[in-house]
Amino acid sequence: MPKTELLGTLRALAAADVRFVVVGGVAAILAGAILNTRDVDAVYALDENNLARLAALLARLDAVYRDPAGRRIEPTVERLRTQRVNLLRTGLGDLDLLQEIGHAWRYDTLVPWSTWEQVENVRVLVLGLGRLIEAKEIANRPKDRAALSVLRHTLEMRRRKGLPT
Amino acid sequence: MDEQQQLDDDGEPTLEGCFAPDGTDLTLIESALQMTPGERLQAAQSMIDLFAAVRRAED
Repeated sequence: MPKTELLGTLRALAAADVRFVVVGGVAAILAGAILNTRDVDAVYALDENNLARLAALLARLDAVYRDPAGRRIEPTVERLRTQRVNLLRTGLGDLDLLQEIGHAWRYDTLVPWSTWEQVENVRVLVLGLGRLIEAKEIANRPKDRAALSVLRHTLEMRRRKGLPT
Repeated sequence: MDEQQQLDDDGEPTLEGCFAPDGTDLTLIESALQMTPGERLQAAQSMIDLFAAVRRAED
């Protein structure tokens, strides 16, 4: 079973100056929701400089697409530019790189809805829980529906405590 | 046990306020909200590592 290093993945992205917003299960966990997750989900900025930094980092991490047929397909600038969903396996674990979530919300749309979180010695931009819930309602996959109850209660408890949502 | 703890007909704690009507364990969320983001991520990482260790033991 491949290893998974959640913090290591975030640290690598941040250290490479990749512009990204953490979404999905890790964003929920950072907000206080108790969920099980096995990967890092991130929405990345689509400018050419960011794509180049991201592709270079992925090469260093020996990233490949999680291809059901077992083919070795490496992420490139061109693939990151054209593929909306990039489900990767890296030396630090699974990494899902997305161009958008929800109603076609891209990086620039997500930034105002996100907050900078200090996670040990790594500073990352994390999507707020309210928008994360909206995105999961829109995606409406079984795993999204299963998480919604915990996410909504976490949001309510954060509101009562006066924490960012 | 907390002296204020309410007991049900079977003498078990009622756990009133511990669970939402939909079954969500609110005490887990409360515990997580007491942690820093780094501690929350570490808790999630520990679960991943535990499952991986179990998988390895089964192989």
